[in-house]
Amino acid sequence: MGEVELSCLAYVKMYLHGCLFPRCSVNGLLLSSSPAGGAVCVTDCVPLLHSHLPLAPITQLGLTQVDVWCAQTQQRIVGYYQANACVSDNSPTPCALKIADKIAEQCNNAVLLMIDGGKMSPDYRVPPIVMYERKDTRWTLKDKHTIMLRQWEETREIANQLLDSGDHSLLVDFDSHLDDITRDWTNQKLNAKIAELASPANAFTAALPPGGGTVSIVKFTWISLTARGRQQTVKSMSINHMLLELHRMKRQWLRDPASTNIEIQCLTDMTLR
Amino acid sequence: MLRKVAKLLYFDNWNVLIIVFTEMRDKLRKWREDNHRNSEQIVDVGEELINEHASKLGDDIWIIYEQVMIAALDCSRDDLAWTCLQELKRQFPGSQRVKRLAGMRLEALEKYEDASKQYDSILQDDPTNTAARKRKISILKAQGKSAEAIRELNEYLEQFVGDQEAWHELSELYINEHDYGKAAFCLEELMMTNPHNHLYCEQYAEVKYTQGGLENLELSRKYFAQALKLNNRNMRALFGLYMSASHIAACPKVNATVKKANVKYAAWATNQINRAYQLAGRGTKENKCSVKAVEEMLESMQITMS
Repeated sequence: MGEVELSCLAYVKMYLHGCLFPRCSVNGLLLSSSPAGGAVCVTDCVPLLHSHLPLAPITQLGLTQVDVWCAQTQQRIVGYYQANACVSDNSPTPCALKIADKIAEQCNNAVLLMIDGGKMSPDYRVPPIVMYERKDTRWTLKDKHTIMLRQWEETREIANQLLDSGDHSLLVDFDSHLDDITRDWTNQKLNAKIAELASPANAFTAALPPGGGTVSIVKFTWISLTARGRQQTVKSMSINHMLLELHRMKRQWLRDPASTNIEIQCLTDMTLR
Repeated sequence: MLRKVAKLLYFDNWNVLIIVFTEMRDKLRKWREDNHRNSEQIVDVGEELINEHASKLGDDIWIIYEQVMIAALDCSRDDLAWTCLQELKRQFPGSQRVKRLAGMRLEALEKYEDASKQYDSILQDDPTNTAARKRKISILKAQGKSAEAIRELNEYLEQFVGDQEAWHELSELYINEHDYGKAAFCLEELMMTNPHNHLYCEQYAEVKYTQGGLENLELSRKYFAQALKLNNRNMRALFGLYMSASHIAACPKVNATVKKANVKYAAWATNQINRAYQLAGRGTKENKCSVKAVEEMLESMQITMS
């Protein structure tokens, strides 16, 4: 069938949702802000539940609220994702198929995405996802070549960074929202953070002046010996992030000069005009 | 935060150091008593406590070793788990409790056959050891053999009828197998022995709602209401009450009085939900989107109902 593109934002949030609740099955909805027809472009996702996935009331509530929110923000529900608690089994459960069927009623090219827990390691070469599409009335495996995830390496790095810094606890799914309704399941804060980390790839192409010109990319590695003698390596890719890291390094160095070794390596050095 | 404070004051003030250390120990105790599974935090605090303050802990250290070991297994820290296990083995050779911990470590390494043998040897010496039996059921669950796990758990509950944890686990297993009738039975057992627990009421109501049909919807509405009576801030129960009442009112089979009553319940629930969200919306700009979504949803559902 058609092509499916998965955005960085959607992938990172799905991944963090799985990491936030490693012992539970989690699920959520995939959204798209592009108009219907043509390739399906998944631009965002809403994490839903991490407990009692097969039970109806909260799922119905979640679907309805996300529907309303989508209407308010010109998005559509185009898919469903799930990660099973049991790492060795990543086949869609009956409740996954049910919800996906319901979504497919409204959206022709709906996709069902299963996250493969066994392949969720920090340096895996391909995204740990398995996608299904609806042919006739059954959900069948989608051809891998029709699934696109632009800039996979950068996306993976962003996810790892957020995990390392503990920011994945910022993610709010619908279940957590019901436990404390002051928390926002649309995750505006986390979206902003991800957008900030994702911006360099776009910023550099945008910063290229017409008629040639070059960009400066600095990747630096900061090695710090923390109190327990553990080494922490930080690779930075965006100017904002670099400034943040420099600030952190300065604070650490002021606190304890002996424990901080700073190494800056400049890769790919081209000057910006 | 606690760690930074400890470092800064380490050589400055011995008394303050004692206070910091007692705080860490008390935190671990609180997590132990509340049965929290915040394993990363336990490993953080516990590892430091063990490495730097072992001498001050006295006899508490053994139970802390156990707590930290289980948390370490949860975080894939086999190095830490091994250290704790060795200390416990040395202090309590031949103990069943330590044997069970050794079995859990084998489970964490996915050596399920060896773990099973370990538990079998505990059960040979002591057939009433509930911990070992429950671990064997957990192994079945981890391997994805849910039918066998359900069977074993049923057998276990025939002997140990009062085990709340086991009843709850069984209800979860049934829910995952979509066997809602049996899940409801397990939750009924739990509600009987824990009549003041609003969570069991609310879960039971959710199961009844999922089963569907007019009778089950009415039951679910009653139990959502009961859950709210026990805890009027349970949002799931509030939404559940709203949805079940709305569905009953919209059902063509009901007579006029029942419909009128349910419309009233749904309206009350709407009021409460709006109030709760307005209260929540004050002061935080964050959740404006979610508040707006709820308002519109309630409006749209009212239109479909009348």
